[in-house]
Amino acid sequence: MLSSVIFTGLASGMLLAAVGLALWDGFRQVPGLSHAVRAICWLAGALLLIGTLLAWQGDHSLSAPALHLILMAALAAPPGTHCRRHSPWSNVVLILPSLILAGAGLLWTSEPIGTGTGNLPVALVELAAILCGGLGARALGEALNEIVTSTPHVEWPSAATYALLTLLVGGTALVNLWQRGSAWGGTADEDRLAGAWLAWSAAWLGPRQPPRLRAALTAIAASLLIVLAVGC
Amino acid sequence: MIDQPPRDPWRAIWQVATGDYLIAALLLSTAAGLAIITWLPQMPVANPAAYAQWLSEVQARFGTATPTMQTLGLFTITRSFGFRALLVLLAGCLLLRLIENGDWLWHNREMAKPAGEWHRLADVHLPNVIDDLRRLHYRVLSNPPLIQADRWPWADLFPLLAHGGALLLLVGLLIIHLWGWRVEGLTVQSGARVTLPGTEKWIAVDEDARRATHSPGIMTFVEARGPGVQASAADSTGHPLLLQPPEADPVTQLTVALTEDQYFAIPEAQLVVRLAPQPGRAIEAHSPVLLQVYRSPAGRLATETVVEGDAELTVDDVTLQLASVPYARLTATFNPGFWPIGAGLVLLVAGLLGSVTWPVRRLWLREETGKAKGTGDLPPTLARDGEP
Repeated sequence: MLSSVIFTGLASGMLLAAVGLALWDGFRQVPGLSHAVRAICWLAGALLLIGTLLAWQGDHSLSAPALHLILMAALAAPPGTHCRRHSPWSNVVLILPSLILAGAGLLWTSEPIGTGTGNLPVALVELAAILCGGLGARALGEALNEIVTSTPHVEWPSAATYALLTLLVGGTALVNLWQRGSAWGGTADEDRLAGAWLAWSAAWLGPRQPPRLRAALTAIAASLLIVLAVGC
Repeated sequence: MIDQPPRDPWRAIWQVATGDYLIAALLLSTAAGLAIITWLPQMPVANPAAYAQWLSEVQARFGTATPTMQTLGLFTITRSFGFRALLVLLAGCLLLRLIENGDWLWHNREMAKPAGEWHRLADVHLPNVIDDLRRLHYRVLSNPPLIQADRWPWADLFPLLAHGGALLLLVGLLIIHLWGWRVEGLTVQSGARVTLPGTEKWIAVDEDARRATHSPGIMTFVEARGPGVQASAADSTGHPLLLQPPEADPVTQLTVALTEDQYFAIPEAQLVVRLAPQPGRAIEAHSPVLLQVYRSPAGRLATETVVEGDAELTVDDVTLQLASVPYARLTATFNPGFWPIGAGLVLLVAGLLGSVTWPVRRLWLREETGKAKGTGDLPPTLARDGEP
């Protein structure tokens, strides 16, 4: 079996276990369990990253979307530094995006490989789009947490995603304008990024009250960004 | 009984037009349009070959649903009235928000009325808080007993820049739409000077087809390069022979770009020549070219060789001379909206990044019977107490 698939499978299992432990901790308040959940999430993130690097080094049988999903899951898995979760569901909701991404990546590895490359994305734009997707998955977790538990979400993943996406879309448009005389080169990747950026702008500039509406807009924008980053 | 002042409809319209709900809805709709474009192949214009390829692709993919989808305009999203109306509405909304942001920037020079509920701040000494806020680059205004701290002017200026930039960008796009044009897939061989159809503008490329020179006012981008050949033939006495390309008049010197296999005949020698890029090799300006010469009408292969650069080949008593003339496939753009778009992009990116890193924060502090109270966007360290 492919080593990258083994690592991704292990990480998915760990994330699933983290979800179970987080739920248990939420309802039973077991001392020290939240630290164990955090440690498991960090470990899962590291395993996903190793899986991605292994796929890059020699295991070229992973399809490009699977690799993108696993890399995004690796970025989304490590938990933040805040320990202010008041609801049993908080930690579960925060882990869910990375679990779904890793699971989807794992399922995608069993798909027949087409002509798409299985290499690690090396083009700067592609890598930046996946980085945005990973940060977007963190922001998605925070937004879902706010929707489900009504606790205010941590702003930095959302702000960082939007800043990076703005730089990426703006930079690509400026380079295109300088080289080609047109801000948009007309490629599908550029349309995807512009679409995701507009959706994120809607979430960022949109109404701040009620907070759940803003969180819902962020969740929509993050989901769109992840879907589009998979196809980049 | 208190008389309610009549509701001003213009004010209500202004509030809706500059409100966050409308801009969010417009941006989401535009994003949805772009998302559809990425999944549904859009109908090409002004290129019959591309149109035919697109039609066969969508018919194979969507089958009987194709005409319905076409009627709904799903294959012409960016050219549809709805999408353009969306951009017009977005521009109008941005203009109104720009005016409002300018108004805020002007009025926020001075102290504003406190907004929100007052919270008691425990264990806080106001002069220390003011020092801390100043260290965090807040502007502090005082009108005893009230103190206002905010991030004016930069925090109010960044949204103004972002809105102005976005508006400038849309204006630039409108200028392109009205007066700009773009020619794609233009093949130009080195040494040739091509006049763009319908204009007086010209393009030429250098010897390696790497760099293009063109008349002022247009921009060019080399999309791809490949080999090309200038062929001539002569008999044993040095007399030039006519070369007959398909569907064209015979010439003594023939220049062809090897974008695909090329054929020509030498009727006086009863030979047919095939030129093709060497299979299995990356196509570049001076890539090797496969040369095959057939006897006509037998169709028998007389000779086959791979040539690179300039070459000379003799078949029977015919000398075939080939000179390397690489080609470049170019996109030429006339963009009168270049500067508005460029300036708009820079302002938009700077404004948005500034807004993300330095958002608007405004808070008020006061001391009442020896207790400090605060309202507005209180920093987390102050907001911890939170007791009203």
